[in-house]
Amino acid sequence: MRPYLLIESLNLKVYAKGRDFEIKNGYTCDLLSVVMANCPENSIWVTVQRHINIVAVASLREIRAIIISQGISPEENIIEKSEEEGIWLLGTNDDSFTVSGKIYNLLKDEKNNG
Amino acid sequence: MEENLLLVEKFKIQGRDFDRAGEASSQIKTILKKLNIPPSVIRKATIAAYETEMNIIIYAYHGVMTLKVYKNKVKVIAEDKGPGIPDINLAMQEGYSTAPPEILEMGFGAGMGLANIKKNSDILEIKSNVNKGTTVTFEVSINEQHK
Repeated sequence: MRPYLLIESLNLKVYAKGRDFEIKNGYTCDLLSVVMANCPENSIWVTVQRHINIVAVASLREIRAIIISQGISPEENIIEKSEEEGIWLLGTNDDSFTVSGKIYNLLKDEKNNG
Repeated sequence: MEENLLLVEKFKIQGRDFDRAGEASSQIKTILKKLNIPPSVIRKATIAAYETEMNIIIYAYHGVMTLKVYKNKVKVIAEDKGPGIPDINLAMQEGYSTAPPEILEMGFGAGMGLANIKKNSDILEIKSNVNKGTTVTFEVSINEQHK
């Protein structure tokens, strides 16, 4: 699933536009070491963390999109950094469980229909 | 062994500089990519380098990471000035952490750092002097199967 389609389907806020890619997986976690060790490639990552280090983790792990859940807004300096790195920085008022479930279903539907 | 050395690069790390956290690892990744190191080796070395860098930022005053790329391995030596590790075996245990609450709140200090380095490296050596500092050295092998 392409980011624009996910943004439209889930009515996500767009803080920073990233490079286009095919979202194949998702990962939900707030502990950066756990994400670093386990997040699959071509993932969208759901977290409540809002500081600049999530962009560093995403960049190192080649995670191309981040959703900050629970209506939490990102810190100012992180938006510019995301744009620089070509990483999508998105937001939702849903909690992590809810948005992850929605993404899970969308990716599963796409797999079944594609 | 030294004749197989392709490159040496040093990176300075400042304790508690969270704004620049991950920059050294990111540069290491870029260098390894340029040298056409196999992707699986880059992934392991990047994860181990990130955890090493974060340990200096979270716990030490300052440190230097040295990247040495050989034909058959990637080696990182991280030396820091800091409080040191009193019990290395305990620190190696997954989930054990001495990180203060404000660090935990940022999603760091899960007690996974050293365990992640061990999982992603082929050789790991930790030397530490309490109240002086710690040296972490790890190597990721480039095997024939990677090429």
